[in-house]
Amino acid sequence: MKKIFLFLLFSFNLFVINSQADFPTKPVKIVVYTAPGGLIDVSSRKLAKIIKEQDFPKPIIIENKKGAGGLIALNHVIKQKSDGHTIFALTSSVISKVVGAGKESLFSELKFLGRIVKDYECVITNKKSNLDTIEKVIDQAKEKPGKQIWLGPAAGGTDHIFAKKVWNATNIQAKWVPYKSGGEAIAALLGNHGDVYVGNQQDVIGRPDLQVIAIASPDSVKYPNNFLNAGFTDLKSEVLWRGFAVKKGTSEETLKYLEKTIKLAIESEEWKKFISQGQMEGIFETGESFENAVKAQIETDKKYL
Amino acid sequence: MFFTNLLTGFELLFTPLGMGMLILGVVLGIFIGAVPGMSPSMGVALLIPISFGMDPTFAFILFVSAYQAANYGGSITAIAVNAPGTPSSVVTAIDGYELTKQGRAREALNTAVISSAFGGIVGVILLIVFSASIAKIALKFGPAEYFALAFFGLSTVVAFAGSNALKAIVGVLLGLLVNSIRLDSFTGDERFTFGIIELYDGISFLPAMIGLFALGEIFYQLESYNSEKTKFLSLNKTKSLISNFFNSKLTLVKSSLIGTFVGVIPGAGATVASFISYGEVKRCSKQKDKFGKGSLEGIMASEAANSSSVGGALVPLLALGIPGSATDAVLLGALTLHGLVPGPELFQTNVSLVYGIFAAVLFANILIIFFGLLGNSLWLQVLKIPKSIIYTLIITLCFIGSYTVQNSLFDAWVCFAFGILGWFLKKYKIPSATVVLGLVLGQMLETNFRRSLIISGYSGFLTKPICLIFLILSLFSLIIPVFSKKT
Repeated sequence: MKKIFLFLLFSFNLFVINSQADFPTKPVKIVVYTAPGGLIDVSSRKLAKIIKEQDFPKPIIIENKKGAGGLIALNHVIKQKSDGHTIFALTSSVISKVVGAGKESLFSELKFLGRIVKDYECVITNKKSNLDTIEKVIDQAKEKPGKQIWLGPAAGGTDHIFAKKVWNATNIQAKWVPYKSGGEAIAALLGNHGDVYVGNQQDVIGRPDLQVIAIASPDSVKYPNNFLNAGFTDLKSEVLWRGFAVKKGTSEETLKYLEKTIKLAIESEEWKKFISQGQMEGIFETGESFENAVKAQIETDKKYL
Repeated sequence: MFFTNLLTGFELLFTPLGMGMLILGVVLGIFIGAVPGMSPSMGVALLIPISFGMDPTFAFILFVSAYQAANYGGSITAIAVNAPGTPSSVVTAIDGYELTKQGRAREALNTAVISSAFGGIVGVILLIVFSASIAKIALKFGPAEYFALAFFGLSTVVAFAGSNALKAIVGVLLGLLVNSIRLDSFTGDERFTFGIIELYDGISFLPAMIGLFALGEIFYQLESYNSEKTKFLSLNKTKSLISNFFNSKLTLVKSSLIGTFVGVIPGAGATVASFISYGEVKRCSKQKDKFGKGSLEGIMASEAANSSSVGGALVPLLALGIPGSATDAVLLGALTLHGLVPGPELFQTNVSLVYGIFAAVLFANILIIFFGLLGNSLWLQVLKIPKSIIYTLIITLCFIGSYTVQNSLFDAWVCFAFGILGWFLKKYKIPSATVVLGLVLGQMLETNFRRSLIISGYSGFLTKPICLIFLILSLFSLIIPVFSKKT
């Protein structure tokens, strides 16, 4: 009996060790859809650094597959093995761009792992303009219908869709002028080549000439300039999120391992400092809740694109 | 105050760690630049993990010295084997490789070193002294001005035309046509992509450039391959570097100023700077006919401009928190990763970092002279390798380099396809540089034309002074050669 018990115990241990040894067996790649230096790239590099310092057994490599708003990176990820060694770092903008290109069926090849950052969408203006409240922006837009210039990154991304939502909610007409990157659009706003820029709070950090005049956060106390206080309940909460996905078919054990690893990293003081410095909101939403949020976004995006 | 801050920067640079990072940055930068397919931005991104745990000032000494050196490094392979290591060294290859074929590789390589260092120093001096005021110039550039600048850049096609202007125009149009393959950036519609996702962001520029120049040249040479001539021509003695330098100081100053100015404008970059500088220097040169056939002035124009653009591109980064180039975007990300807030406040909150960067860029250029001239003796040995071996090495390097850009096999095929195209262009005497000109400026031209139309309609091009100046300059640049030929 004792021998049988020891045999079973040995077998169980062996099983546990084996199942842990299945992942990671080689370096893990985080595929980023922007060039180095983009916000998702910087966040991924920070997370990779923290994970490595937490004794992750294999190296973590950031691989930049830029272009087409994330379609190229997505196409690359779904061609990899479903073994968890390739992680797709994505944002809500990728969902919008892929929907806009009519390729949303590609998402069925992904397993959404978790989203870790929420950035509230903001309406930003140049302090040198007299547009220091959303009401003034609305008034100006009504004075020159269809001629107010809104700047932002590529057409069809989260920021563009948010701009359309604002126009709808405030009943104004304006023009969207897309730029290759947020940085170029910000430069255009600083040079007064447009009236409004759509982005996030961190876009004004270190740029004293810019101001957030309205934010789509439900927190009216922290953000008195939110859309709720201005009376636009439709724009209560609009976010650009950042998260991760892997190829569908990745084993449950690997998914749990990855979830646990990411959770451990985002609970670190270093990550929390990074998040607060960028005025972002840290979250950890996984499983069905995240999948449902993505599905809901796909449906909304279809309406606006 | 200013000098005290500058001294603080130098003090940090002259610590053992500061000097270590500077030397490491320059050596790695030259290597990164010399490898076709490795751009300065990729190189700096690869250095980021090394910098974790390091004081940000020393990390940035490493980054910016590598950034500056990589811009020079691209000229080495451009001159030696017609494989531009960086996009901005395409223009250097035009005359540089011709000189190598004439057995004057040492002269060409040494000229590239001196011109790069000179341009780099001018760029950084302007950055140190005028950063706040010249940052304002960058902001004056709206879509209409960008369009006019791109059009002015295209007008330099005249400089690459040689004896047949029509062929040069065919080259530019080919580049512009290739550029139209991509998702429309305004509507998201597919344009000549045939459902191939890899084409959604357009043809990858680096593999196309490597194919056009390096593979195209090899295919062309293989056609007339003679096994008896297995070595490159023997190398002539070096001309006096110093006399060359003093004879061409005006060219160097002019190119450096053009490079810094173009560098300041976010998104324009080192490649555009090189093309514009080459066009301008040729237009004013007394030896126009030498351009394209092995002109040292051509190398100076390209190298001084692309190196000085580094200092220029750092202006909007430090003064406004806006990246002036792809490498500056990586630097911006690196600032965030090191827990710093990018933007003008850095001048108050992180004085040592800002002035450490200034000191590092300045001294990186001095080290480039040392390591560049030292390295040239080694590069020249490469040219003595038999053709059969060197061609095999270049072909391998081209495919590996193209693959490395985005770890994509598709890019390796792009390189091959453009190699075939480069071969045909050479056969029919259409300058490859004109295709690159169309490729580099096509996107800037199209998107800014459309942006300007959205914002202010056609009148926008005629009511903005900077835009008008560039458009008039473009017209002069196109028309003057026609009249001067007739007379």
